[in-house]
Amino acid sequence: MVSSQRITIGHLEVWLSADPDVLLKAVAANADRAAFAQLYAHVAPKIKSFLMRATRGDVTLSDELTQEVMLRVWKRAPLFDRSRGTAMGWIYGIARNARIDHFRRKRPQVEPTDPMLVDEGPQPDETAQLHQRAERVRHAVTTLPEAQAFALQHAYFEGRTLAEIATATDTPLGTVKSRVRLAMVHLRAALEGQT
Amino acid sequence: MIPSHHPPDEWLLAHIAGTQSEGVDLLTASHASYCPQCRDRLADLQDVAGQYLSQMPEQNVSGLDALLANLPAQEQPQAPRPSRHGFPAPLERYLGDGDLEWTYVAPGVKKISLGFSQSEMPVRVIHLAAGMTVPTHNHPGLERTLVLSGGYDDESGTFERGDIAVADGSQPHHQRIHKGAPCISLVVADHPITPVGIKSTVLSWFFES
Repeated sequence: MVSSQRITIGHLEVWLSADPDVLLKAVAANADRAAFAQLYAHVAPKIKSFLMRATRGDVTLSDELTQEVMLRVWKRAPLFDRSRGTAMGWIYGIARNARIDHFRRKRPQVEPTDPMLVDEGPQPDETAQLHQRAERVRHAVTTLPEAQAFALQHAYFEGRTLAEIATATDTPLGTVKSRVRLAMVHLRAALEGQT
Repeated sequence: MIPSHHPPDEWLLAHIAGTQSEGVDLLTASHASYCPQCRDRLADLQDVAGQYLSQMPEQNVSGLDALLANLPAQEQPQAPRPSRHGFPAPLERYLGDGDLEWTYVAPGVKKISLGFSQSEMPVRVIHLAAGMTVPTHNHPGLERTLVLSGGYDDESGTFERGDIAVADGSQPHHQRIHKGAPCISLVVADHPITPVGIKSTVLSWFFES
């Protein structure tokens, strides 16, 4: 059997796509183990890399947390809502939470199903745009000035506060803050501006 | 009604990066329930983190077979639980299912102190009666407020449901609660506040926990 995304030879299923959005959707919709295996091969090595930075090079802990992250990706895949963001953003969130949970801090989260949620009213159908979100995010990131990207990456991957980034890079705190603000303006413009 | 006073950018980034204190994270997540604009910005930041994650170098991993051999059942989406007290869901998780247990502070003032795992910052829900005026006070550190219902005016503007206010020690302020309904807010302070003037001693009672 041949479909556009995978081939099945006997009992062996092989996914042709390496697109995390496609793979995560299959894991969610069909509990598809072959898609999960492909997703693991694609993202687990990167998650471990992130955790190595976050744990300052602790290999054992990074391996352990990577397994925990991928287990959660499997378990929670049906809860992923692609209308709210990309698969890789969602997976980043799971990896970040695993890191926080390891240090046993509670973590209040945005709850998209909060009954108290205030909406802006009916939105235009954005289905076509959602398919392109990962592409738009990629573009937004590649056009981000280097100093701004540096500040974001330090916060994301080394768990540093802005004050810590300022100290580590010998940069005034006000400068770091303004880089973050400019980065967020840039990203919003880049992500909203293209349709 | 969409909020007009938002959290600073650095709170949003710290929320996504997982570097924020629990109390400020609770303010940020609860504000987001009221604010579609900040939800969009948080989604942007998370997707950008995902994009950087996908650009990470790859480290050797070897756990796939072990996972495949023991995959558990997947979770399925649940119908959202109704809001027990009419507050945003992130805050409701701290309040439990019972009736709210207010502690009397002073005439027109009551509070609930939230139990936090590690945060050293006092986090409280504070109820101020309609029409009352909170005496002038200032703060040795930051006082961060999210209005949950009702509203107030102070030297820096008008604050209503969903609005975030950050007061630092640079200028004393006093809040005039709007008439008609009490003002309930979530407050995260760095330190106990300092009353200014004799009438304000009542304020120090806020911070007996």
